[in-house]
Amino acid sequence: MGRTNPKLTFKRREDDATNGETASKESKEKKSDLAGLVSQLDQPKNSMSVKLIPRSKIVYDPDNRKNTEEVESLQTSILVAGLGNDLIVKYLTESDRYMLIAGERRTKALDNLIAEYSNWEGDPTDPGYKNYLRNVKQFEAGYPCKVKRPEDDLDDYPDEEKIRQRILHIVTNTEVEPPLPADKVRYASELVELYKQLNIGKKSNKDKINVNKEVAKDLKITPKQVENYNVINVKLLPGLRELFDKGDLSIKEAAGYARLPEDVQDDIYQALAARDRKRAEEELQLHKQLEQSRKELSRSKEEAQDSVQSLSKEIESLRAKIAMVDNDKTGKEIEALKGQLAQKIVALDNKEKEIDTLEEELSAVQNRPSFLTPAMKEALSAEGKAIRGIEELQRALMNVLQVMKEYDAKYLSEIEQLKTPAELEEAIQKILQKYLK
Amino acid sequence: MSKGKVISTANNKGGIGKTITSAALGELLAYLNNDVLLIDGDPQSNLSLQMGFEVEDSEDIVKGYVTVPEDLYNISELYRYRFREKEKVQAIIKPTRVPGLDIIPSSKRHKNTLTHLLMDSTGNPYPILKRALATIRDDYDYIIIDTAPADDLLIAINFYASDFVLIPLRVEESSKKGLRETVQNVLTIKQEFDLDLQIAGAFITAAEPYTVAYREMRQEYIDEVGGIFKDCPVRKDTNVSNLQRKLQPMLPTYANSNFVYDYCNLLLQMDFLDPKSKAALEEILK
Repeated sequence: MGRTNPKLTFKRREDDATNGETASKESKEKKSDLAGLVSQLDQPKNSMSVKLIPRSKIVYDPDNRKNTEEVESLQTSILVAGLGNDLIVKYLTESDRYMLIAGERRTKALDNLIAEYSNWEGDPTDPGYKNYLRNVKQFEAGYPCKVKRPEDDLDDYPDEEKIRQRILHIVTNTEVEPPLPADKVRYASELVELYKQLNIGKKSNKDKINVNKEVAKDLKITPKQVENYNVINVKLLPGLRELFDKGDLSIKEAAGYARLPEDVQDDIYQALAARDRKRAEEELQLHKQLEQSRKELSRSKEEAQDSVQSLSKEIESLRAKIAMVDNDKTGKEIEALKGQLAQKIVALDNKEKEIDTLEEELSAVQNRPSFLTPAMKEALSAEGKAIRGIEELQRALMNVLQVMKEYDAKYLSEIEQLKTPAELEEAIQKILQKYLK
Repeated sequence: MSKGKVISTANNKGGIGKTITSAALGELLAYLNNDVLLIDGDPQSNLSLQMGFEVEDSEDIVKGYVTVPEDLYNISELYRYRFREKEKVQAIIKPTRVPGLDIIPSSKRHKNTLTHLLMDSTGNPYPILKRALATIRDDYDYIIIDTAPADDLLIAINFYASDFVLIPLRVEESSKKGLRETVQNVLTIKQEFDLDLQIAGAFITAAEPYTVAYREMRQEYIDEVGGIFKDCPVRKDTNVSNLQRKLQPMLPTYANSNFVYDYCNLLLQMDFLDPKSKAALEEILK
């Protein structure tokens, strides 16, 4: 006997009488829900969106200076009046954190307030606590942040836009709070670097950015100052840079030091490190003096060298001419002339030697010791003497040259007329007589 | 060459034609002279199977007892080792039988990827795929990601890497639910990360245009999601079954099938289609 299916009866339950209706109502709700979602898709994307971000996800910008000034007064103002503006952050894709662009001090103030009041066990009617409940407690869940679009290694932007964003970031930073000198230098040097990068692709000079001018405009300083900042950044010794960063040196001082040679900078640093500003000042003055005398010395040395050179040339040509007319008949006189010439040459050699010693002295001056010792001062005065010596020598040589030139001119014109050895002899006699007078 | 556009096909309702859509569009775009990369993001690895890259992971590999040899690396390792060098990504790209069409295959072990990601708390998982694709984007015109029918972190990672999301639908309430969830997901990712992510469109697959069910459902979709609903149904076609049964390339064997014609029409409606391919496609459809 085969099995038969039991007879099934399906009976609608009373409660379900309205099921159809609710179902359609639900689906209508869902319908508007889906349409709402789709409409949201079309909303234009903001360059910033505002979010409550948990404190644990907010990090400081390691590039920013740690400025904790006035946090306390800010704390009070937030407690009493609430947080005026949202923080501005940037999403860091790699670490899934938000980095502060603006609002470090506000963040610190909020941190302090939450640390102070979140587990309040004191008097619940305390006015501070009441203000906390009204103005700050809401931020325990998260700080209100405007989120800038992420810029990261995923490279959604062309490089130029990235650079421009960084420039904008720096400029905004300086506008929000006036930077300390050390930060100004850092900002200026970074801006210079960024603008240089922008210039790389540009071929014609017309398109190129005038870097110093642009940076000056951004930081509201003069192009000259930008140059000073740059010198500080590039040439200031690390030790002095440290002092500058600490605020112990003004920009003017730092820029002045940065332009000195490294050994002088080092001496100044030693003096400053020993808290001896006077010595540092002396050191700077000494350097300036030495620099000045070195310049003068080398200038006069060059001049002396020039005249020695032209002198020796002329002696050379004179010798050649004497050789032309040299023969047995006029031997004696010529010998005498030759002897005179030889004397001049020896004198010239001596002067050249003097110049050499002068040079040695000069280089000794350049490798000067750290401070003005008595020996040093002596050397300085010796330099003066040496300069005067050279000048005298120059004058003497010029006189000799003048006489020689006169002699030379006449001698040459008469030699051209000579036809016989007798005439030649006569002419030489005349010339020698005149010259020997 | 410009940056490849990244398109995800997604709907967390399974079995509605994501894989065949990825394969068909990939092949069509490659046929239109584009360089196309398919990415199989589904541990079921049906796209890899369709393209001839089925690799059966041994139980030991799936369970992680055995390390995967380097020549068998696929999408799982891209996630696991967070590839960020071009050479490493290139090493897991395989050429298919279709000229111009490459694939990063998947396999069963990819199902562990999500667990690994969730357990590994170091670093941010969202950019993994986008970062890897950024290294090779210049080499392709289109990158099509076939996602798994799910609603999880991996989908979010796929969306994060995408420019467009394409949503296949069926004539059924459940795929509408899937549509809603997918739109919600896209919206969340878009807003959380301020991305330019767009929904390229939602369209009905395996359509039987002459049934009442189809007409009513189509009207519902038009009413509710008018803006993104593309009225370009892909008709039900036994040739799709044949294609999937025989694991053949779509063209030229099935060139005259309804579904190929329908996919061509659908492609014409897509915002991401470049003008050159569009002109070529219009020429073919004439």
